[in-house]
Amino acid sequence: MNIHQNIDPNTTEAALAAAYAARRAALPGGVKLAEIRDEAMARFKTLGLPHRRIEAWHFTDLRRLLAEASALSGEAAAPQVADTGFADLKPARLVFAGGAFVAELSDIEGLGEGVEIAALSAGPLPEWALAQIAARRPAGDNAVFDLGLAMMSDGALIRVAAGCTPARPVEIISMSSGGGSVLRHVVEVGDGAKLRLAEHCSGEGAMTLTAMSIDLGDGARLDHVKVQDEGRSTAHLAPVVGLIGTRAVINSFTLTLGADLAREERHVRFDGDDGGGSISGAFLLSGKTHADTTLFIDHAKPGGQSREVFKGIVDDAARSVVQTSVVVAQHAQKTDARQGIHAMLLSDRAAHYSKPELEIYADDVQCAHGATVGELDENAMFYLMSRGISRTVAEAMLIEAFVFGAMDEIADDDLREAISAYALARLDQRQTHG
Amino acid sequence: MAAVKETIDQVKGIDLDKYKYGFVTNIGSEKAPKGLNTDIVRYISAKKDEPEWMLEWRLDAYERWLTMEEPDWAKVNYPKIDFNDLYYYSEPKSDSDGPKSLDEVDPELLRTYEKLGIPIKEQAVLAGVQGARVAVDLVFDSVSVVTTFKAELAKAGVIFCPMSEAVREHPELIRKYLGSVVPKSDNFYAALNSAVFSDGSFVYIPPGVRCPMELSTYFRINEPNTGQFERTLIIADKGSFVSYLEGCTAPMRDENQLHAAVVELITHEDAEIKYSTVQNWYPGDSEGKGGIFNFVTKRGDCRGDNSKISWTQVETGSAITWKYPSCILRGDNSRGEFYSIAISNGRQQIDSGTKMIHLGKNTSSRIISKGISAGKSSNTYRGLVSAHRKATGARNFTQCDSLLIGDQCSAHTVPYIEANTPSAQFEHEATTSKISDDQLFYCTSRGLGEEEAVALIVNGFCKEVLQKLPMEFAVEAQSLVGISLEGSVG
Amino acid sequence: MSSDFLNIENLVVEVAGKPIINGLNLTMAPGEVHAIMGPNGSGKSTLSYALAGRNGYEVTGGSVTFLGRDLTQMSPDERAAAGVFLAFQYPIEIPGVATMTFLKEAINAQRRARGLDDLPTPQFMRLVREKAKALKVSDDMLKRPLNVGFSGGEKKRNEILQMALLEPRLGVLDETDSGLDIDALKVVAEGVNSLRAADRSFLVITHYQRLLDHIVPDFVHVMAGGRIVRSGDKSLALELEREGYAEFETGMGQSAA
Repeated sequence: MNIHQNIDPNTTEAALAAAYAARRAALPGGVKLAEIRDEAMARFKTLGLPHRRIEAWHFTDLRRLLAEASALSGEAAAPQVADTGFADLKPARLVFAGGAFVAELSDIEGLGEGVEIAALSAGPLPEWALAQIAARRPAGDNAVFDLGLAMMSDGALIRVAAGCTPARPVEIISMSSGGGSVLRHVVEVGDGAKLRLAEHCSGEGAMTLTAMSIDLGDGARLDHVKVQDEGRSTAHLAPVVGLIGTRAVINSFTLTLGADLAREERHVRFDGDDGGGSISGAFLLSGKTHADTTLFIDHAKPGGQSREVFKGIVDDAARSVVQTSVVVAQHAQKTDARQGIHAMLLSDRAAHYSKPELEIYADDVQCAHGATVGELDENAMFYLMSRGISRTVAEAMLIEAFVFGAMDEIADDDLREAISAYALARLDQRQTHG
Repeated sequence: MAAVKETIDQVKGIDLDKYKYGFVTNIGSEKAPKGLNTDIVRYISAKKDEPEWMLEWRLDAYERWLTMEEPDWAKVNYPKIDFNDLYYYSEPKSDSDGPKSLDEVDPELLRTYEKLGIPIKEQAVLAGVQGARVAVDLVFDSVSVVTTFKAELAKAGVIFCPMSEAVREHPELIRKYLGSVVPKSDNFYAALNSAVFSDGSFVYIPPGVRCPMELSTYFRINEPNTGQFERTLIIADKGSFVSYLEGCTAPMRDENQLHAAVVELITHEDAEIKYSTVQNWYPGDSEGKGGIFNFVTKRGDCRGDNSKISWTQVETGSAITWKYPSCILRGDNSRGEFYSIAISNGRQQIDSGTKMIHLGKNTSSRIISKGISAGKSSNTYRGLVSAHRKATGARNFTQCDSLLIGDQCSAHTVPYIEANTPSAQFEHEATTSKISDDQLFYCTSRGLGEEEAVALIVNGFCKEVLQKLPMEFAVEAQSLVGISLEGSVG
Repeated sequence: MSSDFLNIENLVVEVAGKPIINGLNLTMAPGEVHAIMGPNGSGKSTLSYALAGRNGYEVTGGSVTFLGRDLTQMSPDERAAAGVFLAFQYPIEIPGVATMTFLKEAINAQRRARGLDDLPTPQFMRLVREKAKALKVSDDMLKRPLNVGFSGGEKKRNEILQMALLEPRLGVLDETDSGLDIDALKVVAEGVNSLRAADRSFLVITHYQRLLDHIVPDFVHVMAGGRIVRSGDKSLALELEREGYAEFETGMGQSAA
């Protein structure tokens, strides 16, 4: 069904196409990338923004939600790096403001042997990065990914050679402002190599689209955490495509806090035997935030192990959406995939929608999912209060206990501590203001 | 039900390519011309001697159907159906005025039901069933052939009759309730059914009455190229209770046959309907040739406070199953239940599940789904649990387990969970597993054959649901589990 | 008779619109141990929840005055700060909340309510260890999430540990003996006895007499039909043990002896 082909582009779609036409010549990357961009924009124009009749967007009608957005217009404000919570890790830093690399605020030296790190706009696009950009995309139609592909103005290129480990973690800081930004990060971790990567997104831009592709070689390992803490007026769109090699491990965790509209998309394909990891997250939603996390986990080879665990609270008139689709291919025997989606609603106007999906084509597998939604447990509240603990503190204790269960999914101790501290600070704020 | 026992005895030992109910009955039939248009709709309505309002209702449904598209979201693949290459009405010819009693029914037809193991003669029912008595409505192709026990039911005030008769005899009830749960334009197949439904069962239980016996309908498709579009409407008035059983079979044919039924249930205050189905339409052969396309809309409306609707289904037949028996929990404290066993083998494709729509306060629902896939089949559970903003205190528990037998089949779980009130408490659990070699070995080491062992283990896997079936059905269902899985191991 | 310690007058408590306690009267003085016995469904647990302020246990009549304050107008945490402690019949499991974190939060919340500073961590740790040892609460239990995976006996010991740490003025023990074997019962009873003091009272709710062999009450009350229908000294408990509750199960309307 191609209903979307028969409708006129809405204001936002038209604005995006116009923005592309206006900027096309100035976008970085050379001739080959320009071809990729043009093709992507052509696909975007055909598809239009996704809407609720497209299954993967059932709960997040982007076409409607972005109908009036003045996407990608306006001026970028002067960048100022806020506390991202990762300073203690002394990471290398790539800072992007308003969709452009800011060299003065960045620090990409001293990562050691075998580590290539640069901004996409910094010079001629390296072959490896171009090859990855050309080849990696989510399965099926993906208008948002195509939009990112067409319009990316900058991004981080990070490559760790086989067997190497950077001397310190890498942090990508994106600060959005004005009309927003379109970034594309390209990450390659070679055979047996390791990388710790932290992402922090903040600022107030109309639309921030940050796509990323990740290639993990055989036996490689990536520990990735992301904090999405953008301003209220922002629409944050973040499709990530991961290709995971034999015995490689990806641990990716996203803490969703901000933006009025957020869509985190993870397309992870376990493409070699015995690949594994966790694609998980926590969310603390308030205001009018509509936060959507949609996963497509593809166990294409035998022996894979994955966990998809999401926990969060939804307050005020916020809505959370968590969709986790796990596919186990016919020959991917001995796959072990566990999903858990747990939400706590704290307000009469809050809502939670989830869809933990399993698609199993192999018989010798262990796949399970659990999903719960509910409010604060009144019995537990009474128990705590009967010991003299106030309602506010009791609530905070229970919320913390609930949400922080998800943090256990972060395998790297330093990254877990940083994320936990960030989330805790946010919960404390809630308590103070609440 | 002795009928069921006979059925089991008859079908024991058959394999997939020897579908027991695959005989064709040679009786003359009167058919409407092939294809679908307003004339056919008028023809069907006239055949049923329907009042004008019923015809108008059908024509309106037909107009709506023309504007609708076939749904494509289910995980099923089948060649495009040419809706103009089907017969929409077929009726056994022998008695065009309809049988007034069993003696007037074509003996050939009765023999068919004997073959099916359904003793429609009341004496046979009485003789065959220890203690339990079952009133039976038989729908043969498009026509309800006979309804048993009518007199006795009438004494209790229960109306149990063919739909066509209800349209003539109880227009006030039909006009009030028909389409009130599944509107004409609810979906493509429901609209089609609304336009051309031929017959089906109608049940009305008056206030405070506990229906004195199980009610049952057997559906049979006989004619080739004939779609069957039956319509069932059950109303349980205040404080009443009824248990209803439904069984289905069809002959083996190389071509696919279409079945698009609509079932509407309504419970008023404090009423309860228990609806059980054993669906065993012809599934096609092991290579996927032939078989019934089963596109069914079943929905119950718990309209009154404290009312309850419980769906139990054992789905073993059909080439394609597209079916989501649902509950609208409108009344406060109302309760919906869905217990399902869906077994797919050969090339069967099942996309089935339920919707629990919580609207009233303190409503609760429970979903237990057991999917078993074998052969090269595909088996999908698709479900929705939703709580409206005003549905405070809504509760749901869902358990959804899949069992895979062999590495050529697939199992899918697609649950939608939508909570719009913080006081909703939803819990959903799902697992996918296979029969472990250890379990098989343990059973075979005790002398069971491999297929017996599989049947035993699968029956254990399904136990929670099998227990929900009325006794008379449970035995049939248990053996069906074994039969459906024959040829799935080794 | 009235007391400025605890005075319950004509108490009516409704649960889901149904009156469970119907005009109950009870007076306790400091340092006393009162036992409440009675058949199942007589309203014993309802009384304990009403005293602790559980949601859904609505006081629709009468009064409860504790140390001069109207208990019914206070939230559960305020009651706790005022010195009411309920040892739950079924302690709640709270995954994710460490037992130690919980104990610290509770102690400090109550200290703050009484105008005291938070207990410094080393002192807190010492205090917990010392009290835990007496109650045979292991370090391992203290490390686990609150009541999660605790056996029935461990849960009850944890309740008494909390009571020892929070030092209430009134301890309400709701069927603390249920599910305990004789050894566990002795540990719990010793814990309670060690807390007996001139300014601390206990309301011991139990179905069986055996707990009262170990925690010897000053007064025994029989509850039936939501009221106290008979009161006496500890010999009343022995009488009930011999003769059972049959007399009271139909005696809903009897006046107190």
